[in-house]
Amino acid sequence: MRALLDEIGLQGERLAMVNLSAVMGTRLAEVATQMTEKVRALGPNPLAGVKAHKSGCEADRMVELK
Amino acid sequence: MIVGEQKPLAEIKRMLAGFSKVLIVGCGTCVTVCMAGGEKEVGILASALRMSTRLDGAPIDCDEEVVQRQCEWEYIDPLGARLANYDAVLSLACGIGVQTLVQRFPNVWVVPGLNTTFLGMPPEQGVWEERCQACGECILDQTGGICPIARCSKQLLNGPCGGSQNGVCEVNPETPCAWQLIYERMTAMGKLEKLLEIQPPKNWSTARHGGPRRIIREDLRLPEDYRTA
Repeated sequence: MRALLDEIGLQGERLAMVNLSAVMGTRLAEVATQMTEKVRALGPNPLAGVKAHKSGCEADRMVELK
Repeated sequence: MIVGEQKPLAEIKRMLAGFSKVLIVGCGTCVTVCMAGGEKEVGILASALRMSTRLDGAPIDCDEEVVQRQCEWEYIDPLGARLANYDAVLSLACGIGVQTLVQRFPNVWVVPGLNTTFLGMPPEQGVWEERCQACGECILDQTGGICPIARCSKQLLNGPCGGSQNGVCEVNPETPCAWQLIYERMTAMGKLEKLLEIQPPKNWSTARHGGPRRIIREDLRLPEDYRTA
């Protein structure tokens, strides 16, 4: 999935999957903080503000809203 | 099944350059099973194309469709009425499906989203291997059900060659030696003596060497007045 995001031009690093159990609250906070810092460094979603096709689909409109 | 794999997104975008409204048509048979051109892959590719072409500044509006079998008239005919709404069709079927669309809808520009690769099967999840080359004259009875035409790199009929080492092929160590497999199978089945028969050169005129092939079953054909296409 990361490779596909890179191919699209959306920077695969924006996606991460981490396995955590329900008792790992501290680790969850760490991962969330690291991910937030990483995405901040990457900057805004490249698609935000890019004009969709005039008859664009629902997926396009959802991206525009973000 | 016919096994294919999706072309890189950059190549697909090159084929669709200049079009603004495209219908992506998947196929519900072989390429669905090999996870290259079914409903799920059509959806993912459509989303990827929408986003990527927007980032490029030349957005393509992609609609999605899947037909049960893209290689038969009866399944693709219902598409006909919709096709006038699109600049092009991106087919996620095998090469047969692409050509069936082209033959049925000669005024529509159809491009392939897959590289059709081989006839094969998945020995495990996520892995597909070639098993048949559709040579037109099956010899599996002579080789214990293991095909040296599709699975031996040199297509030997009286193998193995000197390059078989520790049960693998010298051309690619990831490929088991087909003749080793044949030997083991014939031994296990108590039919090893069959391999002592020297096989004469194969008649390759039934394969691609004889040009494009055609089968006509007169017992199944409709009377001349009822035939279509």
